[in-house]
Amino acid sequence: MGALALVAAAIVFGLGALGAGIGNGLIVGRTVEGISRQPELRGTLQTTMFIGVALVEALPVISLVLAFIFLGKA
Amino acid sequence: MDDLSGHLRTVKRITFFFLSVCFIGWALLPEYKPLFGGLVLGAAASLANAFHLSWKVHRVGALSAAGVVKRHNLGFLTRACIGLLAVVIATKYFSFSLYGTVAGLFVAQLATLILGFKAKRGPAVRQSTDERGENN
Repeated sequence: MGALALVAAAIVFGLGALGAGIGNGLIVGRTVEGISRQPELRGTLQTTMFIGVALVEALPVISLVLAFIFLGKA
Repeated sequence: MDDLSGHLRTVKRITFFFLSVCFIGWALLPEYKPLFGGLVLGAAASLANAFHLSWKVHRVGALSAAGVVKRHNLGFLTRACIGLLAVVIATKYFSFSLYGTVAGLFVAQLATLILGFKAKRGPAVRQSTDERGENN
């Protein structure tokens, strides 16, 4: 049971971090590109980026807490 | 005041409203104290995360606008550690509900999501076809 819980924790956090990494990379990359092209739209783009990153990062935070719950139950 | 500051101020207001509701629940329903305590702790950590993220986004935007070529991150590790700290404090020191704390960690995110949808839909609804030039 202990080893399985460890594997579950690793899978849950690994997949969560992978998804968030891809999502964050896309969001930040496009926003930086947009700001570089049109610096006058910085405020709007920053707000959109904030909303996007906040949503994307909910997933790894959930997975991190779940991983620690699994480890605690092991 | 730029868009992000206004957005963050609204998120702060919503989170404080949620916290006040949780404190009222804590006072009126003592049998649910662990749940409300967990929600309060999680929502406070969530608000701290939102402020940290806003600071980081502001910094990334400023560096991009200035044309600085430098590696920068959004500080996910710090925010994850704040979330974990809230869970550890809730379970080890106060015996609050773990599920309540985890639910509270998403209050600011949920407020951000709802406000984001509202903000994106607002101008398009208000803007008439005449203003967009479709009838000209």
